[in-house]
Amino acid sequence: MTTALEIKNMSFKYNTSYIFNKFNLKVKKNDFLYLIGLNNSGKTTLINIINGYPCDGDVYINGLELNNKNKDKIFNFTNIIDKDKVNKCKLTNIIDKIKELSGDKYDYYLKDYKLLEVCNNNYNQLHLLDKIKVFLFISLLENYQFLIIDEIIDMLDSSDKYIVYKLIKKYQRVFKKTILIISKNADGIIYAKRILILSQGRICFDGSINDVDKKDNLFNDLSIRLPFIVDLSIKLKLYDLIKEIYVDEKRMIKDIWKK
Amino acid sequence: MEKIILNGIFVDKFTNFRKVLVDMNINDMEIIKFDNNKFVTPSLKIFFQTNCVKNISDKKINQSLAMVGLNEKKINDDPFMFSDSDKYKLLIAMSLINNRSNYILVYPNLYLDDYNVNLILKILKKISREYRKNICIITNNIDLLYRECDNLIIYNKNKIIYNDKRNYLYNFKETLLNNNYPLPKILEFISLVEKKQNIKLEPTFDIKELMKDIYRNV
Repeated sequence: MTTALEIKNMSFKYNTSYIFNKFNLKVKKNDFLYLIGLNNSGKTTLINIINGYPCDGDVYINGLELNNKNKDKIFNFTNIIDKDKVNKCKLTNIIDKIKELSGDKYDYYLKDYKLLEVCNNNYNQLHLLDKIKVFLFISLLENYQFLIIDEIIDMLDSSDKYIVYKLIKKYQRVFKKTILIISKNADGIIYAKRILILSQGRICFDGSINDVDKKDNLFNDLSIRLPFIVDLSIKLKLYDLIKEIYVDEKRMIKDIWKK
Repeated sequence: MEKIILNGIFVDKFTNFRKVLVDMNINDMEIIKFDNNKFVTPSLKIFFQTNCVKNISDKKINQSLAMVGLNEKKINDDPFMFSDSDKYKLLIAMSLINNRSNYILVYPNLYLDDYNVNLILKILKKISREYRKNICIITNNIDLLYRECDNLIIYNKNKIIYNDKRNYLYNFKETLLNNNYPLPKILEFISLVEKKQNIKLEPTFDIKELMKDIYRNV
Protein backbone atom coordinates (compact mmCIF):
# COMPACT_ATOMS: atom_id res chain seq x y z
CA MET A 1 0.00 0.00 0.00
CA THR A 2 1.43 3.41 -0.97
CA THR A 3 1.66 6.09 1.65
CA ALA A 4 -0.17 9.41 1.45
CA LEU A 5 3.05 11.25 2.32
CA GLU A 6 6.61 10.13 2.75
CA ILE A 7 9.51 12.46 3.49
CA LYS A 8 12.94 10.84 3.38
CA ASN A 9 16.16 12.40 4.68
CA MET A 10 14.90 15.90 3.97
CA SER A 11 17.22 18.78 4.84
CA PHE A 12 16.53 22.47 4.55
CA LYS A 13 18.79 25.36 5.47
CA TYR A 14 17.90 29.00 6.01
CA ASN A 15 21.00 31.23 5.84
CA THR A 16 23.54 29.05 7.61
CA SER A 17 21.37 27.15 10.06
CA TYR A 18 19.44 23.94 9.39
CA ILE A 19 15.68 24.09 9.95
CA PHE A 20 15.46 20.39 9.03
CA ASN A 21 18.39 18.02 9.00
CA LYS A 22 17.67 14.53 7.58
CA PHE A 23 14.01 14.71 8.56
CA ASN A 24 11.76 11.68 8.00
CA LEU A 25 7.98 11.36 8.14
CA LYS A 26 5.57 8.72 6.85
CA VAL A 27 1.79 9.20 6.72
CA LYS A 28 -0.36 6.15 5.93
CA LYS A 29 -3.44 6.47 3.73
CA ASN A 30 -6.75 6.94 5.61
CA ASP A 31 -4.88 8.09 8.71
CA PHE A 32 -5.97 11.03 10.87
CA LEU A 33 -2.91 12.88 12.14
CA TYR A 34 -2.57 15.88 14.40
CA LEU A 35 0.77 17.65 14.27
CA ILE A 36 1.56 20.12 17.04
CA GLY A 37 4.10 22.57 15.69
CA LEU A 38 5.42 24.96 18.30
CA ASN A 39 6.50 28.48 17.36
CA ASN A 40 9.62 28.37 15.16
CA SER A 41 9.51 24.57 15.02
CA GLY A 42 9.61 24.57 11.21
CA LYS A 43 5.92 23.89 10.51
CA THR A 44 5.55 26.65 7.90
CA THR A 45 8.72 25.41 6.17
CA LEU A 46 7.36 21.85 6.27
CA ILE A 47 4.12 22.98 4.60
CA ASN A 48 6.11 24.93 1.98
CA ILE A 49 8.15 21.81 1.24
CA ILE A 50 5.01 19.66 0.88
CA ASN A 51 3.77 22.43 -1.42
CA GLY A 52 6.79 21.93 -3.68
CA TYR A 53 9.46 24.23 -2.25
CA PRO A 54 12.91 22.85 -3.23
CA CYS A 55 14.86 20.99 -0.53
CA ASP A 56 17.47 18.27 -0.18
CA GLY A 57 16.05 14.76 0.18
CA ASP A 58 12.93 13.08 -1.22
CA VAL A 59 9.25 13.88 -0.81
CA TYR A 60 6.62 11.43 -2.10
CA ILE A 61 2.90 12.13 -2.14
CA ASN A 62 0.58 9.23 -2.99
CA GLY A 63 3.68 7.30 -4.12
CA LEU A 64 4.73 9.98 -6.62
CA GLU A 65 7.93 11.90 -6.22
CA LEU A 66 7.20 15.58 -5.67
CA ASN A 67 8.73 17.33 -8.70
CA ASN A 68 7.57 19.65 -11.49
CA LYS A 69 6.55 16.69 -13.69
CA ASN A 70 4.22 15.16 -11.07
CA LYS A 71 3.00 18.37 -9.43
CA ASP A 72 -0.40 18.49 -11.20
CA LYS A 73 -1.20 14.84 -10.43
CA ILE A 74 -0.13 15.31 -6.82
CA PHE A 75 -2.27 18.38 -6.26
CA ASN A 76 -5.32 16.63 -7.71
CA PHE A 77 -4.83 14.25 -4.78
CA THR A 78 -3.79 16.70 -2.08
CA ASN A 79 -5.32 19.93 -0.86
CA ILE A 80 -3.53 22.19 1.59
CA ILE A 81 -6.10 24.34 3.37
CA ASP A 82 -4.69 27.43 5.05
CA LYS A 83 -5.87 30.88 6.17
CA ASP A 84 -5.12 32.44 2.77
CA LYS A 85 -7.12 29.84 0.84
CA VAL A 86 -10.10 30.19 3.17
CA ASN A 87 -10.05 33.99 3.05
CA LYS A 88 -9.37 34.37 -0.67
CA CYS A 89 -11.79 31.69 -1.89
CA LYS A 90 -13.75 32.97 -4.90
CA LEU A 91 -16.81 30.78 -4.36
CA THR A 92 -19.94 32.74 -5.33
CA ASN A 93 -22.74 30.24 -4.97
CA ILE A 94 -22.40 27.97 -1.94
CA ILE A 95 -25.64 26.05 -2.31
CA ASP A 96 -25.04 25.13 -5.99
CA LYS A 97 -21.53 23.94 -5.20
CA ILE A 98 -22.74 21.80 -2.31
CA LYS A 99 -25.61 20.38 -4.42
CA GLU A 100 -23.13 19.56 -7.17
CA LEU A 101 -20.86 17.69 -4.79
CA SER A 102 -23.36 15.94 -2.55
CA GLY A 103 -26.29 15.22 -4.93
CA ASP A 104 -29.60 14.39 -3.25
CA LYS A 105 -27.96 14.17 0.19
CA TYR A 106 -27.17 17.89 0.21
CA ASP A 107 -29.92 18.71 2.70
CA TYR A 108 -28.60 16.13 5.16
CA TYR A 109 -25.04 17.44 4.81
CA LEU A 110 -26.08 21.05 5.29
CA LYS A 111 -27.96 20.18 8.48
CA ASP A 112 -25.10 18.03 9.71
CA TYR A 113 -22.65 20.86 9.15
CA LYS A 114 -25.05 23.45 10.59
CA LEU A 115 -24.83 25.38 7.32
CA LEU A 116 -28.52 25.61 6.44
CA GLU A 117 -28.82 29.22 7.61
CA VAL A 118 -25.87 30.52 5.61
CA CYS A 119 -25.90 28.41 2.45
CA ASN A 120 -27.81 31.01 0.42
CA ASN A 121 -25.34 33.77 1.24
CA ASN A 122 -22.34 34.84 -0.78
CA TYR A 123 -19.15 33.21 0.54
CA ASN A 124 -17.40 36.58 0.95
CA GLN A 125 -20.18 37.85 3.21
CA LEU A 126 -19.84 34.97 5.67
CA HIS A 127 -18.22 35.24 9.07
CA LEU A 128 -14.86 33.56 9.36
CA LEU A 129 -16.30 30.57 11.21
CA ASP A 130 -18.82 29.86 8.46
CA LYS A 131 -16.15 30.40 5.78
CA ILE A 132 -14.00 27.77 7.49
CA LYS A 133 -16.95 25.40 7.77
CA VAL A 134 -17.99 25.85 4.13
CA PHE A 135 -14.42 25.52 2.85
CA LEU A 136 -13.68 22.42 4.91
CA PHE A 137 -17.01 20.88 4.00
CA ILE A 138 -16.47 21.37 0.27
CA SER A 139 -12.88 20.08 0.52
CA LEU A 140 -14.08 16.95 2.33
CA LEU A 141 -16.70 16.29 -0.36
CA GLU A 142 -14.33 16.97 -3.27
CA ASN A 143 -12.11 14.29 -4.77
CA TYR A 144 -9.03 15.19 -2.77
CA GLN A 145 -7.83 12.16 -0.84
CA PHE A 146 -5.30 13.93 1.35
CA LEU A 147 -6.24 17.09 3.23
CA ILE A 148 -3.69 19.13 5.11
CA ILE A 149 -5.42 21.64 7.36
CA ASP A 150 -2.93 24.29 8.39
CA GLU A 151 -3.81 26.21 11.58
CA ILE A 152 -7.23 27.47 10.50
CA ILE A 153 -9.09 25.55 13.22
CA ASP A 154 -7.01 27.44 15.83
CA MET A 155 -9.05 30.52 14.91
CA LEU A 156 -12.32 29.07 16.21
CA ASP A 157 -13.71 29.13 19.73
CA SER A 158 -13.98 25.90 21.72
CA SER A 159 -17.57 25.01 20.79
CA ASP A 160 -16.97 25.63 17.07
CA LYS A 161 -13.72 23.66 17.21
CA TYR A 162 -15.68 20.77 18.68
CA ILE A 163 -18.21 20.89 15.81
CA VAL A 164 -15.50 21.08 13.15
CA TYR A 165 -13.32 18.31 14.62
CA LYS A 166 -16.33 16.00 15.02
CA LEU A 167 -17.30 16.57 11.39
CA ILE A 168 -13.77 16.10 10.09
CA LYS A 169 -13.52 12.87 12.04
CA LYS A 170 -16.87 11.62 10.74
CA TYR A 171 -16.21 12.49 7.09
CA GLN A 172 -12.65 11.18 7.29
CA ARG A 173 -14.12 7.80 8.24
CA VAL A 174 -17.01 7.88 5.77
CA PHE A 175 -15.03 9.08 2.74
CA LYS A 176 -11.74 7.40 3.75
CA LYS A 177 -9.64 10.55 3.53
CA THR A 178 -6.18 11.09 4.91
CA ILE A 179 -6.19 14.09 7.21
CA LEU A 180 -3.22 16.00 8.60
CA ILE A 181 -4.14 18.81 10.99
CA ILE A 182 -1.38 21.24 11.85
CA SER A 183 -1.78 23.40 14.92
CA LYS A 184 0.34 25.28 17.42
CA ASN A 185 -1.61 23.80 20.33
CA ALA A 186 -2.96 20.44 21.48
CA ASP A 187 -6.69 21.35 21.50
CA GLY A 188 -7.75 18.72 18.95
CA ILE A 189 -5.53 15.77 19.84
CA ILE A 190 -8.42 13.76 21.29
CA TYR A 191 -9.94 13.41 17.81
CA ALA A 192 -6.82 12.15 16.02
CA LYS A 193 -5.51 8.61 15.66
CA ARG A 194 -1.89 9.69 15.64
CA ILE A 195 -0.32 12.69 17.36
CA LEU A 196 3.03 14.22 16.43
CA ILE A 197 4.99 17.03 18.03
CA LEU A 198 7.38 18.99 15.83
CA SER A 199 10.01 20.89 17.77
CA GLN A 200 13.15 22.49 16.36
CA GLY A 201 12.89 20.60 13.08
CA ARG A 202 12.39 17.11 14.50
CA ILE A 203 9.53 14.89 15.59
CA CYS A 204 9.85 14.51 19.36
CA PHE A 205 6.56 12.67 19.99
CA ASP A 206 4.78 10.18 17.77
CA GLY A 207 1.96 8.22 19.38
CA SER A 208 -1.75 8.01 20.18
CA ILE A 209 -3.76 9.72 22.91
CA ASN A 210 -3.08 6.72 25.20
CA ASP A 211 0.67 7.37 24.94
CA VAL A 212 0.37 10.97 26.11
CA ASP A 213 0.57 10.26 29.85
CA LYS A 214 3.71 8.15 29.34
CA LYS A 215 5.33 11.29 27.94
CA ASP A 216 3.59 13.73 30.27
CA ASN A 217 6.94 15.32 31.15
CA LEU A 218 7.68 16.06 27.50
CA PHE A 219 4.41 17.98 27.18
CA ASN A 220 5.26 19.86 30.39
CA ASP A 221 8.80 20.62 29.25
CA LEU A 222 7.52 22.02 25.96
CA SER A 223 4.74 23.93 27.82
CA ILE A 224 2.06 22.28 25.68
CA ARG A 225 -1.27 22.58 27.45
CA LEU A 226 -3.18 19.32 27.12
CA PRO A 227 -6.94 19.37 26.49
CA PHE A 228 -8.80 19.67 29.81
CA ILE A 229 -10.18 16.10 29.79
CA VAL A 230 -6.77 14.56 29.05
CA ASP A 231 -5.02 16.70 31.67
CA LEU A 232 -7.65 15.79 34.28
CA SER A 233 -7.39 12.08 33.35
CA ILE A 234 -3.62 12.11 33.92
CA LYS A 235 -4.04 13.82 37.30
CA LEU A 236 -6.86 11.52 38.46
CA LYS A 237 -4.85 8.47 37.38
CA LEU A 238 -2.17 9.57 39.85
CA TYR A 239 -4.81 9.47 42.60
CA ASP A 240 -5.88 6.05 41.35
CA LEU A 241 -9.41 7.30 40.74
CA ILE A 242 -9.41 6.17 37.11
CA LYS A 243 -7.34 3.73 35.05
CA GLU A 244 -7.23 5.26 31.57
CA ILE A 245 -7.14 8.47 29.55
CA TYR A 246 -10.68 9.63 28.83
CA VAL A 247 -11.84 11.72 25.90
CA ASP A 248 -15.49 11.83 26.96
CA GLU A 249 -16.46 13.75 30.12
CA LYS A 250 -19.74 11.87 30.65
CA ARG A 251 -18.04 8.47 30.59
CA MET A 252 -15.34 9.73 32.94
CA ILE A 253 -17.91 11.03 35.46
CA LYS A 254 -19.83 7.75 35.29
CA ASP A 255 -16.67 5.73 35.96
CA ILE A 256 -15.39 7.94 38.81
CA TRP A 257 -18.63 7.71 40.78
CA LYS A 258 -19.70 4.17 39.92
CA LYS A 259 -18.12 2.64 43.05
CA MET B 1 -10.93 47.60 38.16
CA GLU B 2 -7.45 46.14 38.07
CA LYS B 3 -7.71 44.45 34.71
CA ILE B 4 -10.24 44.54 31.98
CA ILE B 5 -10.67 41.53 29.80
CA LEU B 6 -12.84 41.28 26.78
CA ASN B 7 -13.87 38.12 25.12
CA GLY B 8 -15.32 38.29 21.66
CA ILE B 9 -15.89 36.06 18.72
CA PHE B 10 -14.16 37.52 15.68
CA VAL B 11 -11.31 39.93 15.07
CA ASP B 12 -13.65 41.42 12.44
CA LYS B 13 -15.72 42.80 15.28
CA PHE B 14 -12.81 44.76 16.63
CA THR B 15 -14.41 48.08 15.78
CA ASN B 16 -17.20 47.19 18.19
CA PHE B 17 -14.68 46.44 20.93
CA ARG B 18 -13.06 49.78 20.27
CA LYS B 19 -16.42 51.43 20.93
CA VAL B 20 -16.76 49.46 24.19
CA LEU B 21 -13.30 50.64 25.23
CA VAL B 22 -14.12 54.26 24.41
CA ASP B 23 -17.38 53.96 26.37
CA MET B 24 -15.35 52.76 29.32
CA ASN B 25 -13.05 55.79 29.09
CA ILE B 26 -10.01 53.69 28.38
CA ASN B 27 -7.45 55.95 26.79
CA ASP B 28 -3.66 55.96 26.81
CA MET B 29 -3.77 52.49 25.38
CA GLU B 30 -1.52 50.38 23.21
CA ILE B 31 -3.43 48.00 20.97
CA ILE B 32 -1.34 44.97 20.10
CA LYS B 33 -2.96 43.72 16.93
CA PHE B 34 -1.24 41.70 14.23
CA ASP B 35 -0.96 43.47 10.89
CA ASN B 36 1.61 42.19 8.41
CA ASN B 37 1.89 45.61 6.71
CA LYS B 38 3.47 47.01 9.88
CA PHE B 39 6.53 44.84 9.28
CA VAL B 40 7.27 46.05 5.75
CA THR B 41 10.28 48.02 6.84
CA PRO B 42 13.99 47.50 6.06
CA SER B 43 15.24 46.87 9.60
CA LEU B 44 14.22 46.38 13.21
CA LYS B 45 15.71 49.75 14.06
CA ILE B 46 13.44 51.53 11.57
CA PHE B 47 10.46 49.45 12.78
CA PHE B 48 11.01 50.73 16.33
CA GLN B 49 11.68 54.30 15.19
CA THR B 50 8.47 54.32 13.14
CA ASN B 51 6.20 52.76 15.74
CA CYS B 52 7.50 54.13 19.02
CA VAL B 53 6.23 57.38 20.42
CA LYS B 54 9.68 58.72 21.22
CA ASN B 55 13.26 58.47 20.00
CA ILE B 56 14.84 55.35 21.26
CA SER B 57 18.38 54.10 21.77
CA ASP B 58 19.75 50.79 20.41
CA LYS B 59 20.32 49.68 24.01
CA LYS B 60 16.63 50.17 24.87
CA ILE B 61 15.59 48.25 21.73
CA ASN B 62 17.85 45.33 22.68
CA GLN B 63 16.53 45.33 26.27
CA SER B 64 12.98 45.24 25.04
CA LEU B 65 13.70 42.42 22.54
CA ALA B 66 15.38 40.39 25.32
CA MET B 67 12.33 40.84 27.56
CA VAL B 68 10.05 39.07 25.06
CA GLY B 69 12.63 36.38 24.25
CA LEU B 70 13.88 37.80 20.95
CA ASN B 71 17.51 38.15 22.11
CA GLU B 72 18.88 36.56 18.95
CA LYS B 73 17.39 39.25 16.69
CA LYS B 74 19.72 41.99 15.50
CA ILE B 75 18.96 45.65 15.00
CA ASN B 76 19.55 45.37 11.21
CA ASP B 77 17.37 42.25 10.72
CA ASP B 78 14.41 42.51 8.35
CA PRO B 79 11.28 42.06 10.52
CA PHE B 80 9.17 40.98 7.54
CA MET B 81 11.17 37.75 7.40
CA PHE B 82 10.28 36.85 11.01
CA SER B 83 7.75 34.13 11.82
CA ASP B 84 4.25 35.29 12.81
CA SER B 85 4.93 34.48 16.47
CA ASP B 86 8.13 36.58 16.46
CA LYS B 87 6.26 39.41 14.74
CA TYR B 88 3.62 39.34 17.49
CA LYS B 89 6.34 39.36 20.15
CA LEU B 90 7.95 42.28 18.32
CA LEU B 91 4.70 44.24 18.66
CA ILE B 92 4.78 43.56 22.39
CA ALA B 93 8.43 44.65 22.63
CA MET B 94 7.52 47.89 20.84
CA SER B 95 4.49 48.43 23.11
CA LEU B 96 6.60 48.01 26.24
CA ILE B 97 8.81 50.88 25.12
CA ASN B 98 5.77 53.09 24.58
CA ASN B 99 4.98 52.59 28.27
CA ARG B 100 1.20 53.04 28.21
CA SER B 101 -1.24 52.59 31.08
CA ASN B 102 -3.35 50.07 29.19
CA TYR B 103 -2.27 47.19 27.00
CA ILE B 104 -4.81 45.53 24.77
CA LEU B 105 -3.73 42.23 23.25
CA VAL B 106 -5.82 41.15 20.29
CA TYR B 107 -5.95 37.38 19.81
CA PRO B 108 -2.45 36.51 21.12
CA ASN B 109 -3.35 32.80 20.98
CA LEU B 110 -3.69 32.94 17.18
CA TYR B 111 0.00 33.75 16.77
CA LEU B 112 1.69 32.38 19.88
CA ASP B 113 1.92 28.82 21.15
CA ASP B 114 1.13 27.97 24.80
CA TYR B 115 4.73 28.53 25.89
CA ASN B 116 4.88 32.01 24.38
CA VAL B 117 1.39 33.01 25.57
CA ASN B 118 2.51 32.08 29.10
CA LEU B 119 5.79 33.97 28.68
CA ILE B 120 4.09 37.14 27.45
CA LEU B 121 1.37 37.02 30.11
CA LYS B 122 3.98 36.51 32.80
CA ILE B 123 5.87 39.63 31.64
CA LEU B 124 2.73 41.72 31.32
CA LYS B 125 1.34 40.58 34.68
CA LYS B 126 4.63 41.51 36.33
CA ILE B 127 4.51 44.96 34.71
CA SER B 128 0.86 45.27 35.70
CA ARG B 129 1.67 44.46 39.33
CA GLU B 130 4.76 46.64 39.61
CA TYR B 131 3.65 49.67 37.59
CA ARG B 132 -0.15 49.45 37.97
CA LYS B 133 -0.91 48.86 34.31
CA ASN B 134 -4.13 47.40 32.92
CA ILE B 135 -4.02 44.44 30.62
CA CYS B 136 -6.88 43.53 28.39
CA ILE B 137 -6.95 40.39 26.28
CA ILE B 138 -9.38 40.09 23.42
CA THR B 139 -9.86 36.54 22.28
CA ASN B 140 -12.43 33.84 21.63
CA ASN B 141 -10.55 31.43 23.91
CA ILE B 142 -12.70 31.46 27.05
CA ASP B 143 -10.48 28.86 28.76
CA LEU B 144 -7.41 31.08 28.46
CA LEU B 145 -9.29 34.09 29.84
CA TYR B 146 -10.91 32.21 32.71
CA ARG B 147 -7.53 30.77 33.71
CA GLU B 148 -5.51 33.97 33.47
CA CYS B 149 -7.72 37.00 34.03
CA ASP B 150 -9.36 38.59 37.06
CA ASN B 151 -12.37 40.05 35.30
CA LEU B 152 -14.28 38.95 32.26
CA ILE B 153 -16.45 40.78 29.83
CA ILE B 154 -18.14 38.34 27.53
CA TYR B 155 -19.31 39.96 24.38
CA ASN B 156 -21.51 37.91 22.10
CA LYS B 157 -23.53 38.93 19.05
CA ASN B 158 -23.10 42.66 19.70
CA LYS B 159 -24.12 42.56 23.35
CA ILE B 160 -22.34 42.09 26.65
CA ILE B 161 -23.63 38.94 28.33
CA TYR B 162 -21.26 38.91 31.30
CA ASN B 163 -19.24 41.64 33.00
CA ASP B 164 -17.85 40.70 36.40
CA LYS B 165 -15.07 38.93 38.28
CA ARG B 166 -14.22 35.48 36.96
CA ASN B 167 -15.13 33.92 40.33
CA TYR B 168 -18.83 34.56 39.72
CA LEU B 169 -18.95 33.15 36.21
CA TYR B 170 -20.31 29.77 37.32
CA ASN B 171 -23.38 31.45 38.84
CA PHE B 172 -24.17 32.84 35.40
CA LYS B 173 -23.77 29.60 33.51
CA GLU B 174 -27.41 29.59 32.39
CA THR B 175 -26.97 33.05 30.82
CA LEU B 176 -24.03 31.80 28.82
CA LEU B 177 -25.77 28.63 27.75
CA ASN B 178 -28.91 30.54 26.79
CA ASN B 179 -26.74 32.68 24.53
CA ASN B 180 -25.13 29.57 23.00
CA TYR B 181 -21.84 30.63 24.54
CA PRO B 182 -19.48 27.91 25.79
CA LEU B 183 -18.51 27.68 29.45
CA PRO B 184 -14.81 27.24 30.22
CA LYS B 185 -14.07 23.49 30.01
CA ILE B 186 -13.40 23.23 33.76
CA LEU B 187 -16.78 24.79 34.62
CA GLU B 188 -18.51 22.67 31.99
CA PHE B 189 -17.15 19.60 33.79
CA ILE B 190 -18.24 20.89 37.23
CA SER B 191 -21.69 21.60 35.82
CA LEU B 192 -21.90 18.09 34.31
CA VAL B 193 -20.96 16.49 37.66
CA GLU B 194 -23.71 18.48 39.35
CA LYS B 195 -26.23 17.44 36.70
CA LYS B 196 -25.30 13.76 36.47
CA GLN B 197 -24.28 12.95 40.06
CA ASN B 198 -25.91 15.75 42.03
CA ILE B 199 -22.52 16.57 43.54
CA LYS B 200 -21.57 20.22 43.90
CA LEU B 201 -17.87 20.68 43.27
CA GLU B 202 -16.32 24.04 44.11
CA PRO B 203 -16.00 26.23 40.97
CA THR B 204 -12.30 26.79 40.36
CA PHE B 205 -9.91 27.80 37.59
CA ASP B 206 -7.16 25.49 38.84
CA ILE B 207 -7.28 21.88 37.64
CA LYS B 208 -5.28 20.70 40.69
CA GLU B 209 -7.94 22.16 43.01
CA LEU B 210 -10.61 20.40 40.98
CA MET B 211 -8.73 17.12 41.28
CA LYS B 212 -8.55 17.46 45.08
CA ASP B 213 -12.24 18.31 45.24
CA ILE B 214 -13.13 15.23 43.18
CA TYR B 215 -11.01 13.11 45.53
CA ARG B 216 -12.86 14.51 48.55
CA ASN B 217 -16.24 13.79 46.94
CA VAL B 218 -15.72 10.25 45.71
